[in-house]
Parts: sequence; structure tokens; C-alpha cells
Amino acid sequence: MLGGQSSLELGLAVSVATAIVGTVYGAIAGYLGGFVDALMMRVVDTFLAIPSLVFLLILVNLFTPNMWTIIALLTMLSWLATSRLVRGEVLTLRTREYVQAARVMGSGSTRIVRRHLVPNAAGVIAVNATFTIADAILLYAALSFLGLGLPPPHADWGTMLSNGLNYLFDGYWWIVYPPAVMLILTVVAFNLIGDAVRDSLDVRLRRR
Amino acid sequence: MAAGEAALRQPGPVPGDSRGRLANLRGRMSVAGSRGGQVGIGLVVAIVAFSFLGPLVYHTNQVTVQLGLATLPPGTRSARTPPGMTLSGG
Repeated sequence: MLGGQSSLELGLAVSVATAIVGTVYGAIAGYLGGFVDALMMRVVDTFLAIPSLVFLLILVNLFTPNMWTIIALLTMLSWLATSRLVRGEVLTLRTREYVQAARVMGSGSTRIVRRHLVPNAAGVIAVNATFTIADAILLYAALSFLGLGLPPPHADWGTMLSNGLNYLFDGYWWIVYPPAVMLILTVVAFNLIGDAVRDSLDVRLRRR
Repeated sequence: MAAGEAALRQPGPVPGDSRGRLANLRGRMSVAGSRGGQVGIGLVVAIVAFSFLGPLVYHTNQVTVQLGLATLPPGTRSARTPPGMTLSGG
């Protein structure tokens, strides 16, 4: 029960932080384009090239693990994909007539991004945010499983799995299965919601 | 002709208008309409209720652990201790 609290809180917090950071970064890169876009995307590519778990293990060893540092570290790994998605969407949207019309009418770059580009990319951001919750919960469970999660008395599913694994082969299934089942159910649930959100936003998949 | 004019007069989101687009988005995000969405939302509600409302009903002691009882199977000590813990959660 208490293990679920920290996992759910952390997943939601990482998802919100990822959506904000990734949206701002991707929108700036996509709107400005040119050299700035290329430079910003190469930074993203550089971070994406590093295996996330290895990167996370290094970072966790540098900082004292608490709820806020774990959220910050998971956000540092998760915003990259969001920024790429938002940047792609903004690149498409910025050539639309209404954006050009807004520009002709004297709207500044900030206003165009804030009022026209980001709201129109909201679908992509919402779908990605839902999947990010599941990813963050899994990544946090992996981190806790390796003993690098929140210290006791915090409880989480990864630590419970890690502790229970020692007893599993002696037949103590009731120590391992409950956190494993909860973890699987949570990830499946958020993936199902993400799929449903994506399908509801996709014109081709919608029922007529 | 008249039908065409009526269609033109129908209120709806103007392409490119962010407010109209958001309203359209909300309308389309009928996640609960799909089977997968319903199952997902149901699971999330159940897990959130279990995780956040469960500790209000079933109290545990997360600080003091009785290692001798940690590996007991569910319901060993009494029917009121399903996860194999004592009533104090140890």
C-alpha cells in the first residue's frame, strides 16, 4: 500500500515535470529552427545516446537520494523524447496559415508559441505524458531494485521485489508476487490509458 | 444551397483558433469511450484507492519490523493480518 504511494506520486510528478521541460525546450527549438534548432537537438541526441540506466546510476551516486532528487533525475532522462515529439509537431504547425496570420498581425514569438503552437500540440503532449508515468514508475522500480531508491522507512515496489527475491526460491511467493503484480497492473493501466488517449485524438482511428 | 449555408453557419471550432482547438480536443478525448481506456481508468482508480485509502483502514508500522514474522504467509497469525504481519504491522 505504502509502496504504491511513492511510485504513483513519483510517476505523476515526473510526468508533469517532463511535459513542462520537454514542451518548452521542443517548442523553442521547433519555432526558432535553423542553427538554434540544430544545436538544441544535438544536445538531446547526445543525452539520448547514453544508456538511461547507466546514466541514472551515475547520477544517483552523485546526489543524496530523496523524493525530489529522484524526481529531478528521472525528469532529466525523460524530457528528451518529449522535446523531440513537441519539436516535430511545432515544426509542422509553424508553417500553418493561422501562425503566419498571427505573425503578420504583429504577435510576438512568445505569444505565437504560447497561444497557437503549444495548445495545438496538446494532444501529442498528453499522450506522451501518460506513457511517461508508466516509464517513470518502471525506471524508479528498477532503481529501487538495485538498492538506489529512497532509503527506509520509505517503501516502494522495487525495494520490496529486491528484498523478496532472496526468499522466492524458498517458496515465499507472497513476498514477491504482490509488488510484482501491482507494478505490472499499474504500468499496463497507464499504457492502456495512453493508447486510449492516442486513439481518441487520432482522426483515422476514431469511429465515425 | 440552403443546407450549405446552414452548415457554414454552424458554430464550431475555427481552424487554428487555440481555444476552439482545445475545446475540440476535450471533446475528442473521450478516453472512457474505449474498452482499453475504461479498463485502464478502472485499474488506476483501484490502485490509487488501494495505495492511498488502504493505509487509512489497515495500519502498519513501517519503522519497527519484526524479522521473525516477516516471512509468515498470509493469514498465519490471524484472519485480520492478511499480509503475514502482526496487528501492529510488524
